[in-house]
Amino acid sequence: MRSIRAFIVWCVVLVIVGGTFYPLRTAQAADDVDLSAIRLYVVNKATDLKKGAVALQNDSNTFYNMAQSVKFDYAVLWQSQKDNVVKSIQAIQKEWTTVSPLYEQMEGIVAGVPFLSKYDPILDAGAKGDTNYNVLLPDGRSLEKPGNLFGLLETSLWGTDKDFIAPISVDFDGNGKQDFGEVMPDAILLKGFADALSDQTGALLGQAIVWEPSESDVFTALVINVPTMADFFNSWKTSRFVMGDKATHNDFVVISRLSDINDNIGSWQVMWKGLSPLVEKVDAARNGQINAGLADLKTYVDNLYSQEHGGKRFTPEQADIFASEAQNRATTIVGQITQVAAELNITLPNQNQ
Amino acid sequence: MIHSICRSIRFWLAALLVMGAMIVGLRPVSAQATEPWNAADSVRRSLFTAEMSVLSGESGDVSQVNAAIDMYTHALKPQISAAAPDVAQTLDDALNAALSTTQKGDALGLAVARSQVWTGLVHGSTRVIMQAITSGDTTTADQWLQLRDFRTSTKFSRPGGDSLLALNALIAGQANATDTLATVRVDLLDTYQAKLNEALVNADNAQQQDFGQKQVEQSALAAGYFDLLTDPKLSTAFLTLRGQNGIAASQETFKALVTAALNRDAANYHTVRSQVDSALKDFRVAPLSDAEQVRRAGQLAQFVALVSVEYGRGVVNGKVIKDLEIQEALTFRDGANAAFSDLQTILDVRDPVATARVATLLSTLKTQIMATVDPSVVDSTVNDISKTLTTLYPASWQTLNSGSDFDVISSILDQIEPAVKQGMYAQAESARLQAYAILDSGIEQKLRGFAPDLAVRVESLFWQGDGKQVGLSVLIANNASPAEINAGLVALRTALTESQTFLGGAKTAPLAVAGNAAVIVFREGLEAVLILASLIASMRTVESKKFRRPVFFGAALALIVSGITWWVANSLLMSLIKYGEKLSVIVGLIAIGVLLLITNWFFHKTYWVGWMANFHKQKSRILGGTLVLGPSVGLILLGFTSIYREGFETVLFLQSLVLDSGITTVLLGVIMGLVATGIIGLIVFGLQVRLPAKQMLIVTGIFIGVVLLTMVGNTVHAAQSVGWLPITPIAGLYIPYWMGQWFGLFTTWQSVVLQFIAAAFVIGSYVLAERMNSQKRTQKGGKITQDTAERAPDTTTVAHHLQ
Repeated sequence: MRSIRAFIVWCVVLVIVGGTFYPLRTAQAADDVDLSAIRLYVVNKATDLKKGAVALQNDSNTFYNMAQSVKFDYAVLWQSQKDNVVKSIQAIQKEWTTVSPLYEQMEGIVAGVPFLSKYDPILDAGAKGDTNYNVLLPDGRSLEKPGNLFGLLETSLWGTDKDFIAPISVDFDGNGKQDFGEVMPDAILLKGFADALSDQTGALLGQAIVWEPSESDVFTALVINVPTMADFFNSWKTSRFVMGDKATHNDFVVISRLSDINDNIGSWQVMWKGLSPLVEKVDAARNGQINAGLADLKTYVDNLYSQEHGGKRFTPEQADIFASEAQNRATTIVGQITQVAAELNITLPNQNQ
Repeated sequence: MIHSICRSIRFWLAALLVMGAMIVGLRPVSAQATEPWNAADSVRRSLFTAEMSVLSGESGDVSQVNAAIDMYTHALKPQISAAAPDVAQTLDDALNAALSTTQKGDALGLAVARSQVWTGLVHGSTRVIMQAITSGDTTTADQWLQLRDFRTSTKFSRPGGDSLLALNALIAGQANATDTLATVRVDLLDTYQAKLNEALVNADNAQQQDFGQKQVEQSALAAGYFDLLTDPKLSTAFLTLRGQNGIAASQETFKALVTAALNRDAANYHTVRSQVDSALKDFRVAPLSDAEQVRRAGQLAQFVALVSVEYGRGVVNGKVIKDLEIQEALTFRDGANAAFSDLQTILDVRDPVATARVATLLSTLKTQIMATVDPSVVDSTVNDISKTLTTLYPASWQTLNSGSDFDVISSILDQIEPAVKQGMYAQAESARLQAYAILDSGIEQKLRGFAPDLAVRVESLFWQGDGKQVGLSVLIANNASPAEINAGLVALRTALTESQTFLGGAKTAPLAVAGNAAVIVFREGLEAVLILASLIASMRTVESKKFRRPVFFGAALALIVSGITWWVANSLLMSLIKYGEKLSVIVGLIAIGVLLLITNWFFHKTYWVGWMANFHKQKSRILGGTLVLGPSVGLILLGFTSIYREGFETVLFLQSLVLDSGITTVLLGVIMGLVATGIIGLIVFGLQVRLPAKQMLIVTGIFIGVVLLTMVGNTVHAAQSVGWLPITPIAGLYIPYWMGQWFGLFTTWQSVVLQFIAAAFVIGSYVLAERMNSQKRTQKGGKITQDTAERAPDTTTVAHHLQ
């Protein structure tokens, strides 16, 4: 009996010692992980976005009705209803500045998740000719593939696209000159864009509600979006916030791209928070590193935005250095995410070639 | 009483050992308060903040530099100094330079120092990682592997997890240190070469934009990465290419580049920049593996051909009719160019003139696309490239390569979703057909042979669907929404990934491998037990019992030497692991050969009659004192030789399984087999119970036969994977995917015929042996009847019964 008991104990020792060599962190089937918080986040943001779009639509309708009442004679409109016009346009501008960041706060998810991604070019990222939708105007005309709606509304409301505004000079505050943003948009176009924004944000909300996020979805969204840090910074570097009057863009004129970047990083953090419990089981060290990396990137951009918001103007070269630094940090984060995806056996597009 | 206490103590000591083993098995999650990556990030952030403070015209933030020095000194320097004192010295100098330039408000100087610190940190980290892997300190290697750079993601490249997965495999005991070191080295150095090239491009762009600060920073980064890449402790590639003087001269050139940038001397910068290009010409720090070369060659050829297809659709009569097609043509050209860059050094050696021609033509192709020339002009350039490549490529690159085929299919499938989002369903359908044509031309045939289930699934997902998921063809024809198309693409990509994994080296199910290993060990162990039992059977008298001990001692020695043999064989195998599947085929063939031989011996009773007679003869000589050696030494040798032969055979068989599924799975099987053998040994020697030895040998023999057929199937499959055997699918025969994984059964004529031949050999050998025995029995008068032969023999006299 003694020898049998010793034999059994030694067998257990052997099995356990052998077990220590067994892969602790190698590929294993991803356990079910609760990603519902990511969907909830998107649904909440999309709900607020839709509400904001409806408010913007309502005020655009008010302005449209005023213009319609004078048969779209904007000179007459300005002379007869100046105060109401200023109030109406400033209200729409304010609504735009509220609604646009709401989308930026979810863009990282919408743009990267195939189930939702068709709305990103329509709402925020598509150039003219590259967007697969039309804007139906109240006069019956249809604008085919007109570009992204936030851009169309921004250039209409602040007059950086002369085709979208009434051909008269207006001075909202009576200071004797036409300041930036003191424009009267073409009411027909404005209503068309506002209606489309309301429709498309509604459709996005509907899609978000039925979205079932998967681990692959979220990993893909992250590895597609985080490297776009360079694109974001490039549009900041060439915007009027850095280049002033030499800016080559007619959009990104109202809200700095730094603010958009910050909002986007927030949505990446939401996604990572959803994946974090799964990754923690497989590679706690890298999970911590990615969490810290995203937080650090957000602080970095936040700090730049605070300085800019406080009145500091960066030179193009400084902006370029900031962009390089941000890109370096983002590249490290993407690298770590792809490492963890490999450990989890999650295939990402065009990996490791 | 005392005896009982001692026994309890012994038991609890063993139990404590079990708990200890469990504790040892747990990996430390955090061994250091400040992880190296965290400390390095902190240093990087502090220096960046200091540089920004200097740039903004404020007084330099010296406190940030001091914080960086403090962090480096406490959290990083000790290990970097130990592994790479030269790099630690560079870091000290760079940090001191950072301090002095900050104090002086010298922004450019600080930019140089900051770049030197960063490249010094990743340089030091690389050396620490290499040293830690070499010394078996996987915890340190794992921690420092977090302090590294990554390639910047592009459309055609996203960093993979090679280093981390290799390290995980080492930690799991599935790889050895040498291979892990090689993988990590290739991954890291390849990354740093990409970063070097990136820094040079950034420096050039900054120079063109007149961004002096960035130009200096990027030039210094390039110089730092160059130092890392030419560190002889990490790679001798540059040393081999240019010699020691070449390294020194090139390092001076990089320093001159930084100086030119610091002096804002554009003319000198351009001159030195050309010298840098000359220094880097033909330098590739981490040469591509043979498989990667073939893969890149396939990508280059296929991407170039696709440029012509896409461009032809996008341009008519000099006018762009489809923007997206032109964009895709450019994308494929860029992909082809990237593949060509990776191969350029190798092709240069084969034919520098033809290689230069391909480089020029690829550049011309881009110009032609940008200038919207007539499609016939692009066709002509593409044909020219294709013809040149045909003469330039070695024969081995021109054979079917499923790796690059999968890459190209993936790139073409990438076009479908954007096309659908823009409502261009015809274009999406065209991309689908293109991807399917590539699948149909090669991969599908392989899949039909090796994994018919997967072949059917992939085909269905391209066309009608597989019952659960509607196929792409139907989805596109019905103008399905992007989300529906995406679901179809996801399902197809998943099936393609599975197919690629399978074709890239289908692995036998781990449980099957563990089971096979257990069968082999148990069978050989059983033989060993029976031999020992037979040898000591006659040592029952009190006088002769003293002879048992040397026999057992020899047997135990044989077990130890078998373990050493395992280690030697495994080390040898791991040193040859770079030959991949080819090694699997050769080792598989050896294992099959030996298996066939011993089954033949078994049937012909050579084993039991010949060997056992020999052992008994030796025993008699030893005990009879006719041997020159003393009885003890002789009996030790007898025990040793009788058991070591079994151990040696076992080691040989198991190597093939190690190559298939890794050491851990096989060890699991070995433990199972040893436990079973131990139980048999306990019963025979401890409890003195007689077992039906012959029946046990027959049953395990049948199991061994199944293992043999599995090995034949897997070896044929491996030979087909490396192109040593053709692949001819059997039309109409359906073998489920899992049978391939468990029993090595695949639907190709080659595997089925060779398995049949192996089975016929074994059965034929048995029939022949039976016939010969029958003749002998007839000649001898037939004293041994069949009943007697099948009667359960006494294990202690098994050899005589089997005779």
